[in-house]
Amino acid sequence: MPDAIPLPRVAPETVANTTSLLRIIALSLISGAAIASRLFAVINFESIIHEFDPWFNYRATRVLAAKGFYEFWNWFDPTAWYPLGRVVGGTIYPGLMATSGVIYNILHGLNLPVDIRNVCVLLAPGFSALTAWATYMFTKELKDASAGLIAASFIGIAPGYISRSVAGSYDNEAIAIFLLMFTFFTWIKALKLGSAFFGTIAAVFYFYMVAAWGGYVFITNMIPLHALVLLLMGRYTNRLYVAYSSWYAVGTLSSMQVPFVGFQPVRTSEHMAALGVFGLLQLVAFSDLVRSHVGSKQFRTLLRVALVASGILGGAVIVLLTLKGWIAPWTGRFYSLWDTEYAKKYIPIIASVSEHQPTAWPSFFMDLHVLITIFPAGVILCFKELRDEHVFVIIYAVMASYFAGVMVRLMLTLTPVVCVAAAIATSTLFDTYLDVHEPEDPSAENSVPVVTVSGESHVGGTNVTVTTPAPAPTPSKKAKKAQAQAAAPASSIASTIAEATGTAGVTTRQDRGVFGLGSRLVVVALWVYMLLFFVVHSTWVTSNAYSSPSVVLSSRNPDGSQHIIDDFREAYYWLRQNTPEDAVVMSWWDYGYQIAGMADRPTMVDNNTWNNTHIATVGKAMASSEEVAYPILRKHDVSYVLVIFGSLIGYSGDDINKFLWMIRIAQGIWPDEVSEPSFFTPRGEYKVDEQASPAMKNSVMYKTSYYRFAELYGGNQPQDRVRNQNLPMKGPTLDYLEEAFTSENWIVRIYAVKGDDELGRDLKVANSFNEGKKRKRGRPLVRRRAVAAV
Amino acid sequence: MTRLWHWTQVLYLLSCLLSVSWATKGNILSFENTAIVRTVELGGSLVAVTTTYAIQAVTGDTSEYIVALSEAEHGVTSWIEATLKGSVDPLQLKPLGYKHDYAAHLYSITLPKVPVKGETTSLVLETVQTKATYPWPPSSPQGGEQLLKYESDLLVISPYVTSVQRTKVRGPASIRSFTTPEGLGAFTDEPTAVQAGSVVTYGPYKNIPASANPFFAEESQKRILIHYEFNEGVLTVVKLQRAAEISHWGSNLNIENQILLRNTGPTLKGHFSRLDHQFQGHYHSASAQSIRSVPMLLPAGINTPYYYDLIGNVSTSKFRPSRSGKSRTLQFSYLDLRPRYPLLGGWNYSFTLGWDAPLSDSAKWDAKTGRYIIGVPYWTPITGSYVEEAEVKIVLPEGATDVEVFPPFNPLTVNRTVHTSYLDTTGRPAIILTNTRITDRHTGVIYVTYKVPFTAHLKKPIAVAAATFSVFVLALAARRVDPRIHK
Amino acid sequence: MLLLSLLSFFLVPACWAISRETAYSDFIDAAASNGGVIDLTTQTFDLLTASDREWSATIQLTALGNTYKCAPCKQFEPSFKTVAKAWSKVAPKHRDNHFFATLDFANGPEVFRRLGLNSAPFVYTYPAAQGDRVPANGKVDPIPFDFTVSEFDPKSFSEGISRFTPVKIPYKPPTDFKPIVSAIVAILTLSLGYRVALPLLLNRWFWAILSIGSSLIFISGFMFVRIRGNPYVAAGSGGAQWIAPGYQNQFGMEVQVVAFIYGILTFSFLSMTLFVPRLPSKGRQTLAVGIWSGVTVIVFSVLIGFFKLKNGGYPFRLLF
Repeated sequence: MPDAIPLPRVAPETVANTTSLLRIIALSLISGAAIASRLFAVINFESIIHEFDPWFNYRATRVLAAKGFYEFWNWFDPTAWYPLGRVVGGTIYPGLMATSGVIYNILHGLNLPVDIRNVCVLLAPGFSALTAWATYMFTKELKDASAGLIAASFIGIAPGYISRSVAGSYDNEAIAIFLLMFTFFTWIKALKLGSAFFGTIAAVFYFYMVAAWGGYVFITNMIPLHALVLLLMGRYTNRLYVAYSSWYAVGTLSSMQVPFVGFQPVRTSEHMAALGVFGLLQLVAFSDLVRSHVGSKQFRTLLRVALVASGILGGAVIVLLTLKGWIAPWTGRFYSLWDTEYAKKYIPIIASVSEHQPTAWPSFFMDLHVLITIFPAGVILCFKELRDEHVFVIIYAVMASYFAGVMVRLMLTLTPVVCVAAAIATSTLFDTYLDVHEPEDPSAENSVPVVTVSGESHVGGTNVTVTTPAPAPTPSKKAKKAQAQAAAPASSIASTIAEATGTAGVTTRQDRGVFGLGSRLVVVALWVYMLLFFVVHSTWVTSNAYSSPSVVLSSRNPDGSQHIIDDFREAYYWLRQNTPEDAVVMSWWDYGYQIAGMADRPTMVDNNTWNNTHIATVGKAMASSEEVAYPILRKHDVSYVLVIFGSLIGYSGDDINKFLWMIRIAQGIWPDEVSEPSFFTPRGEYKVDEQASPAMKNSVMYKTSYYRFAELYGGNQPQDRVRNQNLPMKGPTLDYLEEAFTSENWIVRIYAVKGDDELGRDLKVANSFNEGKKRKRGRPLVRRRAVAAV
Repeated sequence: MTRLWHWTQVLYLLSCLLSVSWATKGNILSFENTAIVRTVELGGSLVAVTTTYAIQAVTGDTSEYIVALSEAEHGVTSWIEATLKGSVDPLQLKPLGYKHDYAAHLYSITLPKVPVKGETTSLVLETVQTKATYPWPPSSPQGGEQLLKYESDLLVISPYVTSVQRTKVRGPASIRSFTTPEGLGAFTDEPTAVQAGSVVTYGPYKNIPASANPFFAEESQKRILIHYEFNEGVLTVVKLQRAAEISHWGSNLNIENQILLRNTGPTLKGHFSRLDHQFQGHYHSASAQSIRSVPMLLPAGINTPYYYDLIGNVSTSKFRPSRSGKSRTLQFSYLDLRPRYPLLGGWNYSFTLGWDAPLSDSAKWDAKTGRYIIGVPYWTPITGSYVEEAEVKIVLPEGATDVEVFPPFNPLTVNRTVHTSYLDTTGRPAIILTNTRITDRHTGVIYVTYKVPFTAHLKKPIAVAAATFSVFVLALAARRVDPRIHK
Repeated sequence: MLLLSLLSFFLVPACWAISRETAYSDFIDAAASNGGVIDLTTQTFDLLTASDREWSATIQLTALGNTYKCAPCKQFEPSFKTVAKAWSKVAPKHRDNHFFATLDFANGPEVFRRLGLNSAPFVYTYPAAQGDRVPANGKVDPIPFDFTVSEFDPKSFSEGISRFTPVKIPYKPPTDFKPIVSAIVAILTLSLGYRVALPLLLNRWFWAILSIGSSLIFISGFMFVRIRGNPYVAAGSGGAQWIAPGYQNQFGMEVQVVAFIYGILTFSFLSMTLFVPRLPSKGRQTLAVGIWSGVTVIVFSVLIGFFKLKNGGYPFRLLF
């Protein structure tokens, strides 16, 4: 049989060593790439914690590192949700903090005094390398090592995963994806070998996942779904029974040890599927047992009936319990995945979060680029040889693509399966086109017995698994030996060797292949080019879209150099250094964690939005007039009000743009006092200029945002650069608040809440009384304005 | 009146003679001051006082000249140095502590040689005072003017008889008001305080008896108070923690300062308005009390300076490294240190400023004794400010033995600790010196000498190699072991 | 004479009272006759919203005339009707304290002008200004119903209005037969076409098509369009435009286009991977490889171009 190109002859063990060595090198390079591509943020800016939630995780980790785990475990934080406080230990997933705490302690044990901040910043990149490895293992179970390597390299640089794991985005997802993939890997392994050992490992990692991320529910439903589908396909085996039972029993019990989860696994609907499948499996196993012993036909039918009946019964019981309220219905966030209208209507807070929005197709393409075009092909290939693990991938693919469509942030769960499927497809392509064998000439077709051989090749260094289609004739001794020596090659290398070692591997090959070098070169070149394009794309996306810590903004100077806008930290640091320790700061909840982390001051509300009413209170204070807001502020002894204001430099993420949500949430609680329509102009527009509705103009938010802003323009027409509207020439005035600090570009504005008037007058009256003096003091300023106008 | 005066005086002198209370050989008759001129340079948080004594040896039997600082003066004085006029190298100055019957803190200055009878020399005594001024009014609105008050004794006291003395007070800008002392008829007949421009001159006061005694302090000493305008930032370093870490492998001296800075001018009345601040910046009418940036002169030839605070890197600063070359020891690297926010009256700002310098610039190896000698500057002054409490920590390389420290002036405490850092096995010896109220004159160099045996140098590489090797061994073992129960 | 004048003096308020009584009863009748909705004119509007009203009223201000082209009006009209109908079922003692009325712009433009409305539809609820049903906070001025929070569907509308009615509006959404029917149909077809269905269900490729199809639709932003309720195409100036501007937005048609593109790419990939090697002769293989590579390159460049349209800053391109 002819070869496209002649091959050198090499001894098999040399090959074995070389391949394993190459694999190790490749994996380490992939890890390197994965880590390096996540360091843009550190290089462009600095080693800093990003965005909002990470700041809380960072703060919690600091506590953990400083005071030890038990202190952390029952840490009550009186400064958050002032005056309520927050039981931190019981309201978080401690996995992330625990992980970095352990790493921190190990490093210090080795006399490597690394700053805890750097540990936190670099945790996500580090774990992304592990994710690449886990994906490799997972894909290896599905196809072979080469596919695994490709999958690893995909997940390493896929923007969809990078978006949440760049250096500094210290969030639960950072470690969760690794846990996800590794749990799935161990599950598949357990299923394949039917080993309780791997089942338990899966359970342990499931527990870790539960401790790390709310998204563990995805696993909780994926694995049962897989098991169920396998049952329906009539693929029940003892391996399935062992794997699932060990996973469920150990996993559930251990997951209940996390305080935040507690008894949910037996009380809430999210977890019922797992329980139901567990029960079902027991029934099936039992019936299987009986069937194996009892032979009579009637008994079997009877058994089948009983089975179905009990299954229905179990379902009915669960439903009943739900209706009775013993089992809590689905929690809001989770429920909003199914009934997509739900959140918008009943939980505006969830709907208000940007990462809970549905996903438009460009972001899919942005995050996965060429992979998303070949990932269906991978799924098809999974259908082609439909082993149990392939079923898993198929289910995963469908579910994940639905979820990713509903919520942007769940793109994260889609990315791994896309990478895996795409890798399977790509490696199949390369197997086909890099295989040097040319098929026999058409005359001698269908003479060779077809034995599909899959799994790792022997030269791959791992054991062979030979699965032959059910009725396939067991191949002859000779053929077996051939497989044992060199089964269907995993990678092109392996295949070349298999040929080179001159075994009878040929006979086990299917009689199809590619003729000549031309087609090979074309296809390989094309797809290599595509993959390179993917690499370039990913790099671009990572560096431009996903690597900015929203704490520090950057703009370009006229000369193209980078100009850092550091207003947030300026203001937070001012608060930290020049205000009393116990000064309560009121701001919209987005900034709660940052204030707690950077300014180290008590906040009223923060990003852990557990108390709708409290948030609505803040919303009301912001939305209503000073006279109404003042008592609220005093009641919660707020001493500073902090607002974000982008109009000067056109920072679009400012509070005026979030204002509508504050109003909506406040309206949800006080429909009579705050009403959204009154903030629109009669024509139903959202305006801040002259035509702005009176409710708008009198609201604390509007006043604090635009206070003295017009004066900056020294008599010229003041401009709002975010909303592109002309502001009134005369800005608002304040009676109950006074400006305390404004950052360099006016992004952060802090106002002090006035105390009672010395003479016990109403502050408004007092102000109007002082007006006279004020005007006198104001005069020099006026002159300056005149100068400015010239 | 005068007669009575003389009697009391004589009595007192006799008592002094009889009581052998003098700590040193000389006595109050061995010198007399032909003239004393004191110049007070008013500043923000620092006040430099230069007193020139023209002295004449009466007996010519001793070289110990005694200067006296009253309780109040001594309380604010944090730096004192005596030189001969025209020379730079300081004379030996020994504090004798507080003496009751002199009602003063005495310092004895040892002249180069015992002066012959009748010979005149002129001594220059330089002191730097901290906490001698305070803002008045204590708070002013943003953009308001910045006024300080300085309070001091009118007459320079001395255990010797003084024929004539005068005091000049020079203000940095306009002087708002000053006290005109009364009832000095005994010493002068002219108007005693004259203002010329920003200089107020007190005196001349003639033939003043030996004035370092409680009697004089009660009877004739006067307090003067000067209210003046100051147009630069009044900065105080509340706390300075400097750590110098020596690495022979990297041949690198890392210096890191943790600084808590405070604007000790008049506190801000009302609140800070960015608008006004921007306008002030725009029209160069920036008032002294809002400090936008702090210029600093860092040592020459340093590289990779870093400047961050509790929440990360501070990106708003300009650094101009010194041109390298032969004469680089003369120049400085210039850092325009900008706090995150302008420092208004009473505001704090804490930050960390550090840099690396080539070790060869500040350390050398003495082949004869086989010791390393390294010099670490005590602190890098921030212009016109002083340090309330300073802590300097010098971390020597791991395994350094018989360490000796030679501080430029006496620190309060010297402690030795062990500092464990990257890849240390036994830890590095460290020396901690603490001090209070360091002025810009306290810029001496701390010299440390130590030995490092060759084996100590090899500690790290060996440790690292061992660790790596053990990892490999473990991997090897793990690869070989087969945990399966049944094959 | 004097007596007369006195008499008239006494009578005037009486007449007023009478007229109000009559108006009240008229309203009741009108409501009863017209399925719970009173059709208003300017005068009746003033009567219904008189400052001394003892009843509350929910008034729809709309413009149903075709001349106004008010799509939302037409959209909302039925739900208002249904809710009003539901209200008319309530026991009279409650029902007659709250009215549902509608005022078309054609019948009372003055009212619109007076209220300063230049868009429609609006729903104002006038609480009772007198009697025992005056709201606790004493605010008697009209409360607009907020369409921005809740939609036009009768359920949310009735919930929203029930805050003002004496008793909750007994609105029950009609049971939705669609899923039930379809389920029944499905079961029937399955049971009938058992012979046909079973092999289909047992065929893996049937499922393959199913799952691939669904995931293709999902990754083309189908859920986005559904959740946001975006149109299939936007009737923009110069004909319908089917590409929504902006990176975070898309129309219904884009879903199909993108899904189609993905489909082509997938298929060409598969044919390169699976089908080409099966071709027995070299020539046909080369041809096929050429074709499919070409298709891949071209279609992918189209995709990139499409993406550039959505995301302006994207720097890369393939062919065009």
